[in-house]
Amino acid sequence: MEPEKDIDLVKAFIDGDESAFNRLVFMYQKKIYHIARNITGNHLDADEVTQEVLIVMYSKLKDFRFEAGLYTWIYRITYTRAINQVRKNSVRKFFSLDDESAQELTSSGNFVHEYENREKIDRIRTVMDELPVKQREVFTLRNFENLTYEEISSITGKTVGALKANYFHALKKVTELMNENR
Amino acid sequence: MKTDDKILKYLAGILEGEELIKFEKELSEDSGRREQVNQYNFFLADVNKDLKQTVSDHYFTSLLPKVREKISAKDRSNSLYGYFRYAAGMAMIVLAFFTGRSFIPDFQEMDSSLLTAFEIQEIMNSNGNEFSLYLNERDLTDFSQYSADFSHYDESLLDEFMASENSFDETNVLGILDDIVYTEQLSDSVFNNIYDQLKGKEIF
Repeated sequence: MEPEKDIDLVKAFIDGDESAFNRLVFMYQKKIYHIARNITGNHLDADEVTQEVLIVMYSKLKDFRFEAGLYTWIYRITYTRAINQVRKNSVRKFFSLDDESAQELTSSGNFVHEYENREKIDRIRTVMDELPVKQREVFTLRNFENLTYEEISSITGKTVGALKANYFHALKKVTELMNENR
Repeated sequence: MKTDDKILKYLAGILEGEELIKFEKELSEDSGRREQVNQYNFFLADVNKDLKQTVSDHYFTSLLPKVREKISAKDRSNSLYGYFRYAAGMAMIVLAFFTGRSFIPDFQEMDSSLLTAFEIQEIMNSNGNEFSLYLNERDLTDFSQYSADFSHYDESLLDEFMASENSFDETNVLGILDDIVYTEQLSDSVFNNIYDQLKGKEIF
């Protein structure tokens, strides 16, 4: 069966077909979650961001005009919400408002499946968390989502040159840190 | 795996011009060098695969019902809040009628040369119903779906601008905290754009 096109689903949703929204959610929920997870660095924040983004999609899809790709629009919302979540956490951390919840945020083990390579995944997560946010975001969008620099630029508003430099430094740090942690 | 800046620059797309040509020639002639580049690509694919495994499928099956529940709750709350706003608006009209006081602020006097979104938020908060009355009087009828919840105007306006690919650039936004948008200072044209968009909304 041919995969449904974004435009058809959005039109169906605008015309009142609620199930079209469900299908859009199934198409994009994992991508949204993974971007949020990689930028925020923990499951609880990623979960919050993912839900927020889906709610925004529901309320704003009627205004979507397909001047840009739907995925770009969704990525942009996800990116902004995830970055805001990181900033909120920094403010909380700065004022030490909730040390306990911060601890809880970093230990998302309860939500995570046990896999044989859990140790390896934890190591990669640790490495990702050590990257500055600017590097983490470009690494996520380029490596995981296979977006071009131009697409990332339209989402983040950063220049292609700056993105390339950040991606280079991210690659370097990831390989160095992975080597150190072996 | 040894870190090799040249390969990393190549993968990041930083190599250009003669340097790129030279490196690609090296790759075509040296199988060992090609193998090193492949190792990096395998490594990145591996990292990618591992990171995508970190949450169970159960999480995703339970996500949609949770979101649906929140959307329904939001709809219910908006509908109640709509009645409240309507009642408050009517009370203001009655009050204005009996006191003869104008609640309509003179927006022309505002110095909008360099307003931050925070300041716009403050304007909205301090003017509240007066602003909506002002807009109603001007018979501004577009965007009937919009509900004027000024205390939350920031995020909804922001999303709307994003949805319409408007010139308001979300990258200006430094953060949203406690329902206040913190942005870089907005230029006159961006402010006017926001103002025009707000003018176009049916308030009650």
